[in-house]
Amino acid sequence: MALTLKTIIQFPIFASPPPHQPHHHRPATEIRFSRWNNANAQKFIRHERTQKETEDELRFIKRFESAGKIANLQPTNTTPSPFKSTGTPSAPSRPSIPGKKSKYSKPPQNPNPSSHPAFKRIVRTRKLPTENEDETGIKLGDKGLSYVIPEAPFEFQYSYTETPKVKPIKLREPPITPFGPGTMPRPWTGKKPLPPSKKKMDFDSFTLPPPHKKGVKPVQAPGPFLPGSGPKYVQSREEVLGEPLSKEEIDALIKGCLKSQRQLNMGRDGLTHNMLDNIHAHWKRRRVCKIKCKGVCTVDMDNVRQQLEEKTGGKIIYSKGGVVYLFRGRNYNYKTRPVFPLMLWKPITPVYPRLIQRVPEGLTLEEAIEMRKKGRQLIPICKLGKNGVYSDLVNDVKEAFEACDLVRINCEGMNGSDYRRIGAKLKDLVPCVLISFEHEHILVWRGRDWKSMLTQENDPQGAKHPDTNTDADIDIDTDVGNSVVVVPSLESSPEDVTEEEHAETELINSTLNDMYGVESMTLDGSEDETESSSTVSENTSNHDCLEGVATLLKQAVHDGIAVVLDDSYLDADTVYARAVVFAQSAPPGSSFRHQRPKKAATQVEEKQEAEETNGKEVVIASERKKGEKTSRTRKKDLKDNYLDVAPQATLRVDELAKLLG
Amino acid sequence: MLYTVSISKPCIAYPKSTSQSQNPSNLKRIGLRVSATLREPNGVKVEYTPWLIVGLGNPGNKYHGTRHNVGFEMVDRISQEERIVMNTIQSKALIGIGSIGEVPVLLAKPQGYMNFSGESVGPLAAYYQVPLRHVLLLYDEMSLPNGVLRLQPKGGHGYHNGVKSVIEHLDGCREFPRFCIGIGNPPGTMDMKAFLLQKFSDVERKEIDAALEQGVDAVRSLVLNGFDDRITRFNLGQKYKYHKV
Repeated sequence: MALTLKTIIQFPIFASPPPHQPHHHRPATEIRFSRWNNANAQKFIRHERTQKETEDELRFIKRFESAGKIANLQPTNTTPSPFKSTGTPSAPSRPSIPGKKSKYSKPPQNPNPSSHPAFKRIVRTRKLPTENEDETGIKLGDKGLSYVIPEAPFEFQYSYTETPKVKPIKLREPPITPFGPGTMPRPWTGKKPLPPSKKKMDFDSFTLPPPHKKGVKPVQAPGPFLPGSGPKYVQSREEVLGEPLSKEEIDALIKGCLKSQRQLNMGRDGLTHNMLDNIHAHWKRRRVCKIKCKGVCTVDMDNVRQQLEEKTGGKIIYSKGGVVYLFRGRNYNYKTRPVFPLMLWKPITPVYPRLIQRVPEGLTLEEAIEMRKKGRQLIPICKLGKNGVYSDLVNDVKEAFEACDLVRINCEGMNGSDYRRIGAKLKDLVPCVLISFEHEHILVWRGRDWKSMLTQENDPQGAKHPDTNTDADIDIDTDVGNSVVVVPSLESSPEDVTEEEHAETELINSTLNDMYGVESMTLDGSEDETESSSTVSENTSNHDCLEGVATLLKQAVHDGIAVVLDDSYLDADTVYARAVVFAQSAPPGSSFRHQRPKKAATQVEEKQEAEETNGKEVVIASERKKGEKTSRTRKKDLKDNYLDVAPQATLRVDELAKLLG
Repeated sequence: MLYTVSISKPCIAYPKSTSQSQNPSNLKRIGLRVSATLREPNGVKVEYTPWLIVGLGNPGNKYHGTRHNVGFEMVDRISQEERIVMNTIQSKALIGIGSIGEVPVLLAKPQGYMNFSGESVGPLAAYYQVPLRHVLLLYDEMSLPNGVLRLQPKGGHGYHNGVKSVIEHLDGCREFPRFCIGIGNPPGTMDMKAFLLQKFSDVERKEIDAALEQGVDAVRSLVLNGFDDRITRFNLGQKYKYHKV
């Protein structure tokens, strides 16, 4: 039965009705409780009277009665009424009381978010360890998190190539070294320890186990040794490496390794500490360790190579793309190698400062927003796959900056942390500012202090080649950075002419110099004669070339292998028709013969021959079989001067043909 | 055409060599002098050996303006800019001679169909005694995005039948310079041949026109100065020209 208090407006509105007291045999309670899981029920909270309260009440009653007796104000007319117990108010049964748990019900959930322990915000900031290096210490420096262990040759890090070179802000967990203690107690297995193995390993890297010995995996011999020397027991790094390897030795070593499947893989963590131990394990058996790098670490292959050489003490003999071949050293001995403690667990990464700030340095908020908007429409310069080799990425980004100040790289499909690491590396290697990582694309800006590579390239060239042309280049191409399309500047440099083509006065034609007259006027007075003659000779040579070609053409028309069309016939179809007709009537042309570059001795011979046969400039070779030359065996580029020697028919076959025909 | 006047560093730096017998070009005094070069030990070679600039394409109005014929369009553009009239037919090609600056240039448009372009180019190169490194081939390249140009000193055929035939007829040599004009990959699973014989869309047409303009400049620079830093910069600029915002 629910006891409710109802106030009904019975009287005129202006007056508030007196509180209507329900007359029940029980005092009015404000507590609403239900017997049978009423929705309106409140939690049953029985206020248990403490001892103190009971005592206080009794004391109060006694004092009141005694005071009454004394004052005689209130005659106690009746004897104190006999105590009548009102009976214990019937307590509702256990299951129907909300808030009480029974075997039939669970206490109601109290979705009060502020009270759940999981949501309690307890900020536990760990203090960073101070910079004073204790004996074994965890150091948080500019190179990131590193561990200092006494008598270690270098500071240990989890990853030597991938640790960001920024000081971490804080550590998520208390710092502990990931290296186990010196002596690990044996975990309890419930059994006695195994007996020690009876294998007698007397073998050294230098005294090899005999081949085909049972139970021993193959070990490669130390070396390679130059004739007349053997393995040396040495300790220092340079001596372990020994003499620098000769090219043949390198080729032999690499050839043996190219097709082997035995390799170490380097992934997004780069060169980890435990990988050093793996490399030494490889070197126990073979001279060269092959390491394949894929993914994030390939962005900065130079750093990877340098760290490998430094930390392992080996030498890199070949590296291309993502593959590195590490040679262990001529005098490497597995027994005397430097041994480092292994990292038994992966340390928790500390918190580094954010890569992308909302307002990157050097920009205002509006500019940053503008850039992000623009970036959404930009075409990405390349798409990176998940475990690819990104060694060209830095160069590509640098080149792309020449064209536009924003660059976008598509990294869809990659791990989130991967492309963020790539972004962090790009920030350092290509000096640029990271703008956004949205939609799995990296958007970078080139920064305000960006200098184009092109203007820099001009200067060193100008220094190396004290040449008029490049100097003029610098003068003329002032806005190289802006203009993407290069407008070539025409420079004829008569001053560069040596005296090879000296004055052939019979061909001097002063009318031709009209075009070049401007240049001849600017020549220095002291060298006027020679230079003017050289210009003239140059003009003549050039003119000769043009004339030569024109003459050839005329000759061709004359011979009937060419025909000049009128202007009205220059429509594509008519040209084609005419060409077809003409081709049927014209004699077949000569075939192109390419002179193969030959050695110097034979070339001198050729030149002499060329002199003799110089009369025949126009080569009309007789029909030869096309399949004569093996065109696939050509390997070298043309490096010789074919300037003056026209492709003559000076081969042995041609001579034969001449003799026959 | 503007001739820039470059005031020389006086040639005092170089010993005035009166040795004229060194250069075998003196042989050329006799007879026709078609090719000549003025070489400076560390200077820019200004070669006057003629260039043969060949644009690949299919003849006739039916194929005018298709993707495979960009080579022809480029050659037409060059002939317009340099005012070289192409009105001669020789060796199954439409040719015209002229000069870019001072360098003599022979423009050619083979009139055989694409697969037989080599039959025109080979004899032409032989007849005009153009050395291999001065044969410039202009053709369409599907591996480049639309409108991106690239100048290479040598290369392969890239499954282009025209280039294959030219290589075959030039004695199997691949070491001639090329001017690749990008046309982009066929979309989706479109047939490659259909794609090549299709005309350009409007957007692409505009891009190609812009590219042709830039290309003429590049050809001029190449012919006058050879493969140098400028060409590298040109290639770079072309590669990233659409990555701008």
